[in-house]
Amino acid sequence: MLKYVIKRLLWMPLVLLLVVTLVFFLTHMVPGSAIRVLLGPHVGEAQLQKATAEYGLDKPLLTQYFIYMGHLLRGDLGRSIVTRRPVATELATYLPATLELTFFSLVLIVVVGVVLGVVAAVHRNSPLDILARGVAVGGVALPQFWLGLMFILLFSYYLRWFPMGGRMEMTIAPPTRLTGMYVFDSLFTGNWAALLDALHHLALPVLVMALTNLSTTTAMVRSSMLRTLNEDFTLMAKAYGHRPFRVHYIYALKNSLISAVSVIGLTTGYLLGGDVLVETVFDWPGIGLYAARSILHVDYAPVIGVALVIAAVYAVVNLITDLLYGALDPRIRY
Amino acid sequence: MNNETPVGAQPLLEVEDLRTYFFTYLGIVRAVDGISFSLRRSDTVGLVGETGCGKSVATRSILRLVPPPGRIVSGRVVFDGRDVLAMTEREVRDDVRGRGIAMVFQKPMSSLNPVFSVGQQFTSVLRLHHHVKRDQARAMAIENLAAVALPAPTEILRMYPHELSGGMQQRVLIAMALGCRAKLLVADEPTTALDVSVQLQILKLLEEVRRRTAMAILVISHNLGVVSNLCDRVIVMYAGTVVEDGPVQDIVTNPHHPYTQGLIDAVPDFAPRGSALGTLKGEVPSLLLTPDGCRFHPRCRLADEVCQRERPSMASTSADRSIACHHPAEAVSSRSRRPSREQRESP
Amino acid sequence: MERHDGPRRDSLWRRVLYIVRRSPLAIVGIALILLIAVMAIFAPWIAPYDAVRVNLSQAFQPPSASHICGTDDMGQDIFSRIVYGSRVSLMVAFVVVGIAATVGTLIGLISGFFGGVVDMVIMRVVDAFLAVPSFVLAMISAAALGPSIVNVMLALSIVWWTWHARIVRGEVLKLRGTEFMVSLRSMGARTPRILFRHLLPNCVGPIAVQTTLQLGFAVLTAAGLSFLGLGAQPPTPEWGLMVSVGRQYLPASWWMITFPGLMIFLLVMGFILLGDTIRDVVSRDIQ
Repeated sequence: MLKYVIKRLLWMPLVLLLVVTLVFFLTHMVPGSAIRVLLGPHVGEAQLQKATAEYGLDKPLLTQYFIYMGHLLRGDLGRSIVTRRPVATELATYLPATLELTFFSLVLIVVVGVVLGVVAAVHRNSPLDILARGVAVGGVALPQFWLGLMFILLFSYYLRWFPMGGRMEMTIAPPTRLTGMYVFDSLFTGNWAALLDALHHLALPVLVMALTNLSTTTAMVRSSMLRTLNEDFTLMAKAYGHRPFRVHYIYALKNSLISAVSVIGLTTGYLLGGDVLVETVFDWPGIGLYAARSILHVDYAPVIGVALVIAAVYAVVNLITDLLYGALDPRIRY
Repeated sequence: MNNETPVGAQPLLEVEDLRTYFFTYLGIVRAVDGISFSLRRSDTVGLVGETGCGKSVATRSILRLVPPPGRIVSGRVVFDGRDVLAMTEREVRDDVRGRGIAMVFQKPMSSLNPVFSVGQQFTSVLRLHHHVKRDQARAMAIENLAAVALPAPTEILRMYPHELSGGMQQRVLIAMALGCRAKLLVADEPTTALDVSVQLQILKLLEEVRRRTAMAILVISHNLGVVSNLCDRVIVMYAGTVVEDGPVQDIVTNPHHPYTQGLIDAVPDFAPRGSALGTLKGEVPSLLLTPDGCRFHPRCRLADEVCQRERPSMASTSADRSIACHHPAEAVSSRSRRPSREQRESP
Repeated sequence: MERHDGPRRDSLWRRVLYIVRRSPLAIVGIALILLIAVMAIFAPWIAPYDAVRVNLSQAFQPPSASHICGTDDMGQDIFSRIVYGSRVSLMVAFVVVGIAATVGTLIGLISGFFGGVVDMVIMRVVDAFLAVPSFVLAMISAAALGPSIVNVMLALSIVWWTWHARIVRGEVLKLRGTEFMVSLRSMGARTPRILFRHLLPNCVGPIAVQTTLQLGFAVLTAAGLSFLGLGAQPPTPEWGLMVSVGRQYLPASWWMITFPGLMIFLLVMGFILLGDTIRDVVSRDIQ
C-alpha cells in the first residue's frame, strides 16, 4: 500500500515534466508575437527588440526551454507580461476559487449521478430510465458557456434570484483567508453572512458545471448497476427472500458506489477543462478566467503555469480516487 | 435405496404443465414448455439434461425468479400445499424463497456479493427468516458453517468471498441453505464449476445433508453420474420438456426413452466394459427453433411419421415410471447390446 | 403449443431496426442529424437572407415574421446565419475527427502491434496529452496558432488523436495474445497485412462509436473556442461566435444568444444519441 503510494508520488513529477514540455512547445510552435500584441502597433523596432530581449524571447527555442525549466526547478514560474507579477503568486491567488467551484460541482455530480444511474438501471427501459439518461446525455450536449448565459438571463436578469457573477458582493467583506475557499473560510470563522453570500454566488456556476458533466457518472453507475443486477449474487439474494428494495438499493448500491468513485478522477478532468468557459461566463476569479485573459494577451507564462497546476490537481485527485477505490473494494489491495 | 415415504402423502412440490417463455428480439424461446413432475418430502431427485434444456429456468420458475424478457406463461406450481404462482410477491418472499426452498447455484464464486463479508451476507439471511438478533444470527451462522465442515467458522464470517476457494464458497452456500431450515434444497449444477477433487467433497457433503436432515433435495445436473450417486429418482429433460421420470437404478440400467439411452451410453461409468462409448448424434436444438411433434425426433433412431407430427405426452409404464415417447416398447427391446438389469445389479 | 412467429436470423439491419424501435432516443438522434445535414446541404435555398450582409438599419430586430430568429448588431438575419453556420460546424466536426481518427488509429495500431520502446515512447506522449484536460490543450494550441476556424480544426486534431490511439492500442493488445494472431503469424502473414486486413476490422466497432461521439464534442469544443475569441472571426456565421457577440448585448437582445446556442445543443445531442445507438447495435448483449 505504502509502496504503491510512493510509486505514484514519484511518477507524478515525471508526468508534470512531460506536461510542461508539451505545453511549452505547443505555445511556442508558432513564433509568438506576444511582445507586439502587448506593446501595441505603434512602437518602434528598437523598443520592440529591447522588450523582446528583456523577456528572453530572442533566444533559440531550446535555450528558452532550458532556461524555463531551470527556473521551474527553483519554483519560479516566470512573470506575466501583462501584470508583471510572478505567475506563482497569481496562481496562488486564483487557485482556491477554482478548487471551490470544482469541489462543490463534484459533490453535486456524485450525489445526483448515483441517484439517476441507480434509478435508471433498476427501472431499465422504463420512461424513468429514458428520462434519467436523457438528462445525463442532454447535459453533456449543452454548451457550458451558453447554458451559463441562459441561466444568468433567466435567474439573474429576469427572476433576480441569483447574482450575475463573481464570488461575493462588494458590500460583504470576504472571510479571513485560511484556505482561500470562501465557503470553508466563512464556515470555520463563523462568518454566516459571508457563507450565505458565497453559496449564493456558487449556485449557478456549480449548477452549470454539474449539469454538463453528469453523464459520465450516471452512465457508469447505470451500467455497473445493470451488471450487478445480472450477477448471480443478486439472484441469490432474491432467492433467499430479500426484498427487491433491499437487494437493489442496499446490496447492489454498494457495488455501484464503488464504480462511481472510479470515475471521479475522469469527471474532475472534465470539470477542470470546462472551468475556463464557466469562469469566463460567471466572471469567477479562478485560474480558468486567468488563463483565458492571459491567452488573449498572448501571455504564455501564466498559461503554462495554469496547465501545470491543472495537471497537478488532476493527478492528485486521481491518486486520491484510486486509493479510495482500493479502500472501498475488498478485492483490490495495492 | 429407501423409498419409504408413505404412499398418498401430499407431495412437497408439484409442478404441472409449467411453461416459461423468453420473448427475445429473435423470437420466442420456449425454455420450459409444459413440464410436470412432483417431489415428496425427503425425496432426493435429480433433474438431468444437456446444457440449455431448460433445467435452470424450471427451477427459477418455481421460485418465481424468471428474469425478463422471460415470463411464466402457464402452469401450476404447488409447494407445501400452496399455489406459488397465485401467491402475492410478499408471500413468495416470506414463505418460499429461502424459508421454503433454498438455492445453491452453479458458480459459487459469483453467488456471494464480493463487496460484503461472508458474515454480513449470512447473518442478513438468517435475521430475515428467523427474526433473531445480530449476535444470535452470528452464533447460528457459526454453527451452520461448522456443520458443513468448514474450519475456523468465526474467521470465515469476517472474510470476503474472494478470500475463499470455490469449494469453501460452495460450502458456505450450503451452510446458508441449512441455516434457513428450508424444506427443499435446490442445487443447480452444484459441482460443475469446481475442481474434480473438490467436486467429490461437495457431493459427499450433499449426501450427508441428505442423511442427516429431513430436507428434500433437487439436484440439477447435466451429469447423470453425479445424479445417480446422490439421488433416488431422476427426471430427464430434453429441450424444455420432461421425457422420462423414474427411480435412478431402473433408469440407469434400463432406460426407456431413446434420449435417456443416448445419455447413458455417453457416460463411461455406465457403459459395459470394452464397448465403445456412445455419442448422441446431432445437436441440442435451439429452443427458438423447436421441432414439431416429439422434440427429440430429428436425433432419434426410432423416429417415424407420428413422431414428426404429434408431441407424445407422459404416460406411466409402471407404478413409478413414466415416459414421453411414441415407441416405448421398441425403445426397450432395441437395446439388445446393453447388459440386462439383473446382470448390472448383481454384485 | 404452436408457434406464433418463427425464429429470425440475426443481422445488422435487424439489430438497427430493433434498437431504433425500442429506443425513442435513437430516433431523436437520427432525426436531429438528418435535419441539420439537410440544413447544411440546402443552405442557399433555406436561408431567406444573405448570412453576412450588413444592414445596420435592421440591427437588433427581435424575432418577427420577416426575421424569425431576429437580427444581430450588424442587422444580419440570425436564422440565415444559423442555417449557414450548420455548414461550419459540420465541416469542423468531420475534418477534426477525420484527421484525429486517421492519425490516432495509425499510431494506435503501430503502438499496440510493435510494443516495446515504440509503444513506450508513444504512450508517454499520450500520457502527457491526457494529463491535461483536452479543452485546455486545445485552447493553448488554438491561441498559439492564431485565431481562425482553420486553426481551430488544426488545434483540435493535434489534441484528439490521442483518444483514438489509446482505444485502438487497447483493442490490438486484447487481440495480440489471442490464438487468432498466433495462427496468422504461423501462416506467415506479413505485418502490414496483419495490421490492416485483420486487426483494423476488429477495431471498427469501438472506433465507430468513439468517432460519432467525438463529432459531437468537436462541435462543442470548437464553439467554446470561438466563444473565447480563439476560433472563428466575424463575420463567419459560427454558432459559438454568435453567442459570444450576443453576450455583449444581454439582456436586451436575448435572441442573439438563444438560437445559436440551441443549435449547438441540438447538433451535439444528435451525435451523442447516434453514437449511443451505434454502441447498442455493435454490442453483443442485445436481448
